[in-house]
Amino acid sequence: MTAMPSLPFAGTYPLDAGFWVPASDADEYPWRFGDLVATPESPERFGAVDSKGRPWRALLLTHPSCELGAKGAPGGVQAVRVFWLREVSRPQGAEVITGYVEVDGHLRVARAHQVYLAAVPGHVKLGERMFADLRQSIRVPAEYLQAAGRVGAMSHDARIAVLRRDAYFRYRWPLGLDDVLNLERFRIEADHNFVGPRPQWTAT
Amino acid sequence: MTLNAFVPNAPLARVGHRELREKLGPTLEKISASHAAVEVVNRGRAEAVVVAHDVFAGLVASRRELDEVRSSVALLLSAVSSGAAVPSDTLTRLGITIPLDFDSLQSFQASYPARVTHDEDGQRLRPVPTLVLESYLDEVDQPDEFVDVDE
Repeated sequence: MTAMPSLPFAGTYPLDAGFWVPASDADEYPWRFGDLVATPESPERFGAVDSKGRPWRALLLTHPSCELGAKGAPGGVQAVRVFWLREVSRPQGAEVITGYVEVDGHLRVARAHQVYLAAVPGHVKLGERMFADLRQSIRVPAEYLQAAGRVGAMSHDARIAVLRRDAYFRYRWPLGLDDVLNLERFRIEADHNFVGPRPQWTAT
Repeated sequence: MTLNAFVPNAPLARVGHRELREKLGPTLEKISASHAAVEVVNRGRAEAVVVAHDVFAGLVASRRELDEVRSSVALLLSAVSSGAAVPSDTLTRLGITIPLDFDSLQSFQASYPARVTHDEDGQRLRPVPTLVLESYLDEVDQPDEFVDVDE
């Protein structure tokens, strides 16, 4: 019996280079949870503006993957606010990158509501490190998001990391990386309508 | 913390097999009340140590603490040798400063299987029960329809 391939990372997040599907391949991947989308036109209509009325940097989709595009989304597609990493202090930025901090010999969860995002290679505005704030969520009609366009298709590997982070933030489930990998593998293998390239860690 | 009852290398009180058997109840009550440890001997050979339940729980917790600290120290040593400025209260207190370079840090965290044991407030995280994935394979992702309900 051959062992199923595992993830190419062991930490909180994959290497930056493994975060987004290369732009040349992105069209093969349907929109999914974790994708990075440009802030739509008229962002104030959806609450995608900061306290001074300026548009958010971008949006991270947190809508269930199987509902995106295939089914209706009453009230709009769920998304959260994206910041540049340089908008927080350097020490805080370090905590966002690791997702933990060592205190008195123990590792603590750090910035549970913040999810690190790698730069999107070559992108003018989002070609630098970012993070998403899971606390700042909105809903946007799918057609507005489609018009704004997807900036980055999240890799299957990075989605494991983001799902794990989301599960802790939302439910306080401290799942291990392998737990989330097994859950996502299970979900994909049971999805008869799965579209696009499959992760290397699922059975074909 | 009842572990204070222990003095490292101090001789333990001893009780023989026969005496323990004959005075089991009072002996256990005494151990429980005193939070001490008693060595059980058979023909002069130490066979076991009986401790109060709370003392045992304290020993188990200490062992867990030690394992976690050992795990964290291993991470910090690895981070220092990699030049990765992992956010660390201990490194700061020791005056060990690593220049904060996000590239190094991001690379390090991706490769190191850090074992996070506490929440943001310092409370211990309870382990997640083992998941069994078998019950709803045929039920997932069935077509469904939205029903808009006017409220």
